[in-house]
Amino acid sequence: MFAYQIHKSEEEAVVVFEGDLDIESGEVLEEDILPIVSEYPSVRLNFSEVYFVDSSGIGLIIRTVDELREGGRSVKIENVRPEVMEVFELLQIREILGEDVFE
Amino acid sequence: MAGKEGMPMERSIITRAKTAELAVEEALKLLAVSRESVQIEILEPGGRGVLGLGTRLAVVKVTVIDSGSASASQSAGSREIAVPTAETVHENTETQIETIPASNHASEEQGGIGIHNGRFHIQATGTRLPLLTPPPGAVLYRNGTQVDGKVSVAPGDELELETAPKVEASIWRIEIDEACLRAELHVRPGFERQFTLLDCKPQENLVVPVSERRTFLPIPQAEVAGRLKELGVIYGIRAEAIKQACNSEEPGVFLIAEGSPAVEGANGTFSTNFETETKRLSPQSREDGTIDYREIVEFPTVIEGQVLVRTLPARPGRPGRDLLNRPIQPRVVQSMELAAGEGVSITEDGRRAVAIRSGMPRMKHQGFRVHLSVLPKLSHRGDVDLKSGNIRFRGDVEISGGVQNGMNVEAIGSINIRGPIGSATIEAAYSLIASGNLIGAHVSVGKRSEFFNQVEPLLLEIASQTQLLQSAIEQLGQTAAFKLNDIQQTGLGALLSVLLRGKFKALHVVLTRFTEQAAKNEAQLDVDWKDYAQRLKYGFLDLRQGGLRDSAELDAFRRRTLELAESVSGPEDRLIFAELQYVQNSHVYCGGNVRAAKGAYNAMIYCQGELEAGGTLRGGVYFAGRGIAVKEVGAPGGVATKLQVPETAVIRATRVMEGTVVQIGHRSFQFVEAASNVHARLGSSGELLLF
Repeated sequence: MFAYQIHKSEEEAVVVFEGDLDIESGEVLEEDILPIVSEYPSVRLNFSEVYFVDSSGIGLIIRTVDELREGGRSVKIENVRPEVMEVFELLQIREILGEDVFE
Repeated sequence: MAGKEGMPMERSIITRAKTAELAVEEALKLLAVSRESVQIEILEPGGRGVLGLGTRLAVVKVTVIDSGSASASQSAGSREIAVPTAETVHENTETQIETIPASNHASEEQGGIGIHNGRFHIQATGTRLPLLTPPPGAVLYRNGTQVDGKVSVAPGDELELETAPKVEASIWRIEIDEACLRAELHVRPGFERQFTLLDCKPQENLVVPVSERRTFLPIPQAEVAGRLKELGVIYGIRAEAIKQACNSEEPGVFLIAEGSPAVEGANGTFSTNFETETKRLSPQSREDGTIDYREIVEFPTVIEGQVLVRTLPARPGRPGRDLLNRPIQPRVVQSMELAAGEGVSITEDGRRAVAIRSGMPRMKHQGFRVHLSVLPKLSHRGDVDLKSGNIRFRGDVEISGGVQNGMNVEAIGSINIRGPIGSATIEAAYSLIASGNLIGAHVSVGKRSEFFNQVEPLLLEIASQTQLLQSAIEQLGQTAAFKLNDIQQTGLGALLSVLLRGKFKALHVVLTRFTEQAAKNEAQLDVDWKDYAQRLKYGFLDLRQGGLRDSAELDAFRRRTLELAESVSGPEDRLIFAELQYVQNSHVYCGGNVRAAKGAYNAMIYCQGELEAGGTLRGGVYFAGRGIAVKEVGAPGGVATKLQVPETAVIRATRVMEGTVVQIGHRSFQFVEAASNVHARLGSSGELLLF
């Protein structure tokens, strides 16, 4: 199952993902979440409740971050669980997105 | 003078007689002691006087050693014994006996120091004091202060030897080598030493005599065992050696624990079952004196079913164990891997490579991989002409006739042409043997296409990067938080796009570069190359169709990459050369040596190796990367002939005609008149030397 909450304030939107970030949840990210958060100058993606990822999910995250930044938004990914971070490290996500995306 | 009160007096007597023996006898009589209890000192040996005149008497001093055995009256203190001069006459013998006050043989003014019953006795007679040297190793106190070195002592000094046992503790340590395979115990044994004074008679300069009792102190074995345990040593301990070391009274080094090193295995090997080299025989002389150059090269051939290579499997080593009981792994051994190219099949067990057709074997050996192929041989009877058509063959070509104008012969192998070659194009990957003359021909031997030169390093890089990619994907599959379902559904595409952007950026670069090269050279690529280029593009770069499906496809891609790399890499096992006869108005390129047995006329020969010309090079341009040796060059009329080599090579010519140009590196010279025995090369400072 995949669910999400968006906490909005004047300056930023915080998206809290709950569930696996995979090929199925990717659509939700692209179609539902992206249009909402792209209104805000600052976007924080909270991964504290993400336990599993797959290559499609990671591909979509990369694409989402790229798109938001192209639109001049600041994007942060935070609270990544260690086991998910292990996958990120193996794929060198930090190098792809830049160190500043991770807190 | 008199000694200290209560000190036993020494008794001695000096006697004179005709001989020393007689004097001693006399003295013993007077002292009433036996010869065993005296010390005898001959002061004057006696004998004939100077010039034989008169007789000098012998003088001896006899001293009683053990005063305790003497009678009471004789030991009653100090007194001068006035012995009347006795004239005991034995046949012309005069004995004069006198006694002198007891003293040692030193000057009477100094006195002496002696030991009696374990006590020091000091006598001082005048202005000089007796001297004392403490015994080495022992401690001696004078008036409570330790004596070190020689000192003078005076009567009244309290001298005392330290008699309590002195302990010199053992010193030991354990040393473990870097590999943790040997523990050595370095030992200096400990002792307990105890000294007691020995009695001696007074002397003016006394080295205090002592007797030493030395008791060995063994090292407690439990302490050594405890230290080993602290160091973590639990394997290979030699209890017997520890015991021996602990009880050794000599310093030494003992091996008290020894691990078992790993027993190394051996890598796999292989043996070949065919001639691996092209044989070059010496040219044969014909009966008429001419030389037959045609049969000087013999190529290796194999027949169908022949076993080409056998491998011997690797023999793994045996692990060892170090002192800490940790396993020591032997070096990993590798087995030989046989790879089959064209015309070769590998037996099911992977141990033998068998030729599945007859032809010329080709072997490439890189590390633990042996790649074998058998190139077929095409025999063409008669000329290559419009009737036969051009010949293009993946293998060796043998033509019994000649090649007529305008025809092409191309071989990915060697070409052997018996007849003359007209204005035709001949291209051989390895070698060309032309037994007829070349007139107007265009020859290229051992030239690789530019495309192959470009892509070979790219392919090798793609193969090694792909291997890393495979292990990265495998590693990802083992992490807990990574799900693989989408890969099963849609292929590796999504993952590849992430990896090629991140960790495998370098692979992305070489893949792109290969695609560019393939696109540029598309016209000359055969179906194999086109297939590969497609797989590469849609597998990695254009992922709209999902990319490679799974790791099996990725592995197949890597293997294919290696195969293609092998197919373009230069021949390692075969020589590149051209054996020609007479070359006229022809253009020859060769990656190796060229021999023009009968010379050349107005030709252009360019070779990477040596150029050897048997006849005359008359007109034309001749370049050789490794030097030129020619019999005659140029023409009397001055047809322009140029010989050129790089600066490290030399040109030798038996005869050079006027007008000929030789060039070594950037220096050149034109001969204005004919010359003989030219040996052109650059000198040490770069000047051109001609002879």
